[in-house]
Parts: sequence; structure tokens; C-alpha cells
Amino acid sequence: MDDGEVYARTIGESLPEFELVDPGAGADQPRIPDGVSALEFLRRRAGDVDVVLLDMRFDVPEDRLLPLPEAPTLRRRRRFQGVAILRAIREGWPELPVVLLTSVEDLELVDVADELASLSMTYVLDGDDLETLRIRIHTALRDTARAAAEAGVLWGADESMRAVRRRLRVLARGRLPVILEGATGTGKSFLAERFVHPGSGRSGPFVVLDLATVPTELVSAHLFGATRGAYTGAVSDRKGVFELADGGTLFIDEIQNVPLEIQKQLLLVLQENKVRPLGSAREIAVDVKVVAASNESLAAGVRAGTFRPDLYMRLGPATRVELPPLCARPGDLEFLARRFVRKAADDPDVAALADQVAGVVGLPPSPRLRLTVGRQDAGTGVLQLAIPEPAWRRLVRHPWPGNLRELSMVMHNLVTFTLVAAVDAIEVGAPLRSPRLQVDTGLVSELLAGTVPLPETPETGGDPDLLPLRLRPAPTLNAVSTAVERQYFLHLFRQCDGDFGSMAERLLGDAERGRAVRLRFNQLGLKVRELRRG
Amino acid sequence: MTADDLIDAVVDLQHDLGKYLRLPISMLPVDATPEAVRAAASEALLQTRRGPSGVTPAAEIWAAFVEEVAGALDQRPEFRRLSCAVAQALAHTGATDSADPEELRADLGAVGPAIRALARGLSRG
Repeated sequence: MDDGEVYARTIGESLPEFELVDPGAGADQPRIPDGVSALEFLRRRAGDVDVVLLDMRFDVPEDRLLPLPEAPTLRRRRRFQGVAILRAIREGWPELPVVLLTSVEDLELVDVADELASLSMTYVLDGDDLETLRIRIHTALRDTARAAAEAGVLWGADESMRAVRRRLRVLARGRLPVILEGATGTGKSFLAERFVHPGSGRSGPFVVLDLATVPTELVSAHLFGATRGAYTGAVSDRKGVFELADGGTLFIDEIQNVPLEIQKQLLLVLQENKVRPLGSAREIAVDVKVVAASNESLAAGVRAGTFRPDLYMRLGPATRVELPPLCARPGDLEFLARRFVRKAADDPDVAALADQVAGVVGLPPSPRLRLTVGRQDAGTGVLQLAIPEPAWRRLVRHPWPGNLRELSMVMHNLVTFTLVAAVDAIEVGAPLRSPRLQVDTGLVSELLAGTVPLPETPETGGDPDLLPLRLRPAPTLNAVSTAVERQYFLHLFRQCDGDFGSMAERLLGDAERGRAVRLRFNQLGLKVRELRRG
Repeated sequence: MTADDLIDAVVDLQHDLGKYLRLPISMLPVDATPEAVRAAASEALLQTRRGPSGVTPAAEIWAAFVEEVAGALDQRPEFRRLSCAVAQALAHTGATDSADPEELRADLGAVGPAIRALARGLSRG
């Protein structure tokens, strides 16, 4: 991004290993000439950009300059236009690395150096040396790759999670196993896949074995593999997860479910790095980093006699990392809620609703969603979901037994219901001009009531036509009916093998209306991808 | 002109002249041929600034600066040193084909530091 042609052309010629993006068909130079064009370009094609090279000074007409309140004159606004552009980039694309093409000496003339230094991943290039620039670009790209490897890991600012991150960064290296303990929904599998595995530097695959879903009699075959005929139903040879994860990482979820008699075998594999499939005399050497997760304390299991002490010691109590429950880090709630609201826009159904609202309130398609609390201002160009203080206090007080998974679901539903209400209002002709959508306090209460853990599934007496419903008193009738509807949809989804056309036929008598059913499915907080995976 | 205006003018000069006189040569690989250095120097002097308002040669940028500051800097030793550095660099205009590449590097590269020295002097008062 440079008003002058010299840098862009010289860089293009001198650093042929990088591809400068072409700002538009037929453009003479691969550069963006001013801040207004820069933002237009990023809105359309930010995904094509790995790193931004940003000039500081833009000698362009006044109407092409972005506002810079602290610049008292037009001359200074031009000279420090890079600051205004950088702020806008940080606002809209916070992860995008920016190399600022100016010298520290220039910055000393005004009080912007501190601010620039605080804008993460911004490098101030001293001088015009090509090698310096090349190194800066490589550094920025490497940081981007590292950030991508951690993509989606929501650490937050709480010291407990910072400690987890520091510890896992160290434990990820080397072959020592790692124990991850934490309540359901605290993100054990997510961290194993997105942080430990990439941080291990291992080139092999990341393989998951969830022992909560494996029948006891098949645990051994799943872990170590089996030859044809090794057990009833073994119609062909089967590779175990250790063999599948060779060279990579094996994530064993709910490891406390490994039967005692198999724990000894597991211990031997961990000690000798060899597996012997069931029914085979052949041993297979494996090189696997094991991440063992449990939502119960393995040490308590040892004390209770359900987990072998030698296996526990081999896994290594010193490599145990405990993930804190969400309720133990209330300071992160706002940050996490915001991220989940933003993430909700990735759902095509939510995006379609957001587009409908955006069109009416004068925002471009695919608007970003931003959650604000009380009177906070979301800034311009975003679709704001304003949550009233009382509703926010309810969220803060909620115990979040389902942790991050539950928060994600509540935020997804909150976005969906709020957008649906806005679309309903538009359809009946209600005036809607502001991109600020008020979140209904009652909705928050209903969503929280719907996520409280329910008692055991009631018996249906073996009648396949009876639907086992789980209900508990809720503050509103709407919350009760939503809970019923949710369970009925889930039941139908399973009966119809996840085919929304069939569900629409059953519900509406019209197989063509599968999309409407899917939308309602989402509104009820049911995640198709997770259900299909599970 | 106020002191702030003078500083603004000098900083602009650093961008338009100091930076762009040096840039084409500094972007060359270390083992660039003498011809490549000469061509880069010629470009730096004759097409110093290229932007929305067209191409401006170094001599024009300097003349505009001198006109803007209108003698306000004449008493400053840093300005006199800068004037000498600019004169030495501009002397290569139109004569780069026969110039020594090292001399071109040195003369064109000397303008930026001289402008910076003037800016520092003005900031100190």
C-alpha cells in the first residue's frame, strides 16, 4: 500500500519469491494507492493477502485520506496516513501482519511510536535495505503460519490459561506423553489437535480415539489393531490407532475408560514403542506422541483402584495439565463470547440472515458481527448485537457446566434468534435502520435455562414409537417448548439419517423445504456437523 | 514559517528526496553490475517521485523545498551541509552513464543522512 510507484515496482522486481497482489484487473502497478482503496480491497480479498507492506506517507487528494484526528494539518494527515490505515487494518483484520515501511526516526517526530509498537505484528522498517525488508516479510509470514497453527485456540487473558499455554508449548516438544485433564467442554481435544500436535513438529497424522464411544470388548482392537478372525466380527485386518498415528500424535480421549486388563498392554506399548495387533505374532514399531485426556482425575482413579499406578507413572504425572473450567475464569467470558459471536457468522444459515439484515440497514453483504455489552459502541461497518447489562450479568453468573462448548452454543443461538427477530421485523415492515440489534434479555434467560444439564433419559418401556423426552421446569413456557422441539428435531434427524429433505417431508409434508428445516435446526442450537461426526 | 512548519517541510523532503534518491540503488543486489547501478541512479535522479501527480525529478523537489522554506534555514550549518550534499548528488543528473558506481552510491546516499541531521537540529531548537 503505497501512493508512490517506486517501492511497489522495486520490491516486485527485487523480491521475485513473493507475489505482489494485483489490486485490480488492468492495473499498471501491483499496489494500493490510498487508504480508501486499501480498505475496499481488503474487504473483497483479504484472504489473498499474507502480509501487507504499508507506506507511512500518502500524498493523495484529501478525499482519499482516512481520518486521523490527532493530525492538525492536511500535511500531517498525509504524512501519518499510514497510522490511520494501520488502525483500520487492525480493527478489521487483526491477525493480518503489516510491515510498516518507515523509519523509527520519522516516528519520533510525533507521539505515535508507542501506539504502533502496541499494534501486534507491526514491524517498522529502518532504512530501505532490501535484505532487511526480505527478513521482515519472512518473519511476518512465519508468525502468520504460527498463528494459523493455533487458529481458533481461544486462550483468553486469564493467568490460568496463560500458564496452560506456556506449559503445553514446552510439553508439545519431544516424545513424552501429555495428560490433559479437565471437565467436559474445556477444549481438551481442540488443544491437542490445534496446539500440541502442531507444536510437536511431527509430520505424521493426528489421530483420535474416543474411548467413550468404543465398546469395552473392542478397545484392544481399536488401540493395537487386529488380524482377520482375531475376534468375532473381525472380517479383515484392522490397523490400530498407534499404527495409524505413527510419526504423529495420538489423542486418547477418556483414557480412564481403558479396562484394567488392557491398561497393562497399553503400558507395554508406551514403554517399548511397539504394538502387536490382536491375533498377530508380529510386532510393529511405532513412533507416536500420546496425548491422554480425561474428565476425571487419573490420580483419583489410581487411588480408587480403577487406573493402574504404573500406567499413570508412565504417562507422567509431571506432564499433567489441568484445563480450568470456564466459571473459574470469568474475566475471559466477554472475550470468548465475542469470538463465538463472530464465529457464528461462519454458519451459512446465520450468514444468510445477517445478509438480509445488512441489506436493510445499509451495510455491505457478509457483515461482521460484534457483541457489545450495555452502551458499548461497536464502531462502524459492523452488525452489532447489543446485550443489555442485566442479561450480561446473567451470563456472568451462569455456572457454565458445559464450559466452552456450552458458551459457543448459547452465543450461536443468541445470534440466530436475534437475527431471526430482526428479519421477522423487516418482513412485517417494522422500521429497522440502525445496525445495532438489541438482544432480548428474556432470550438470554431462555437459552441458559435450556442448557442446564438434564436428568437421566427416562425409560420408554421399549416402545420404539415413544420419544424419550427430558424436561425440567423452565422460567418460561417458550423455554419448555423449545426444549421439546429441540429433542424432537434431534430424534427426527437420527430417524432420517440426517436427511433434511426427509425431515421436511415428515414435518411439513414437502421434501423441498429441507432448507427451512435446517434453518430451524440451527436456530435450536443443533450442530449438524457435530451430529454427523458423532 | 513556524518551527513546526519547518520540521514538516524537512520531513517531507526526507521522504521525497532522501528516501527516493537512495532507494533504487539500495534495492539492488550487492553484486549488481556497474550498469545496473548507473541505471538505478539515473532513475533516482530523474524519476525521483512518481505518484498521482506524475513524475517529479530530484532537482524539482529540491527547488520546491528551497522555495517553501524561503531562506528560513540559511543560517543553520546543517542546512548548508545539506545544500552541498544535494548539489553533489544533483551534479550526476544526466551524467550517470560515465560515473563511478561507488561514487553514485555515496553521493546519492549522503542526502538522506544530511536531511535527517537537519531535522534533528530543528527538533532540538
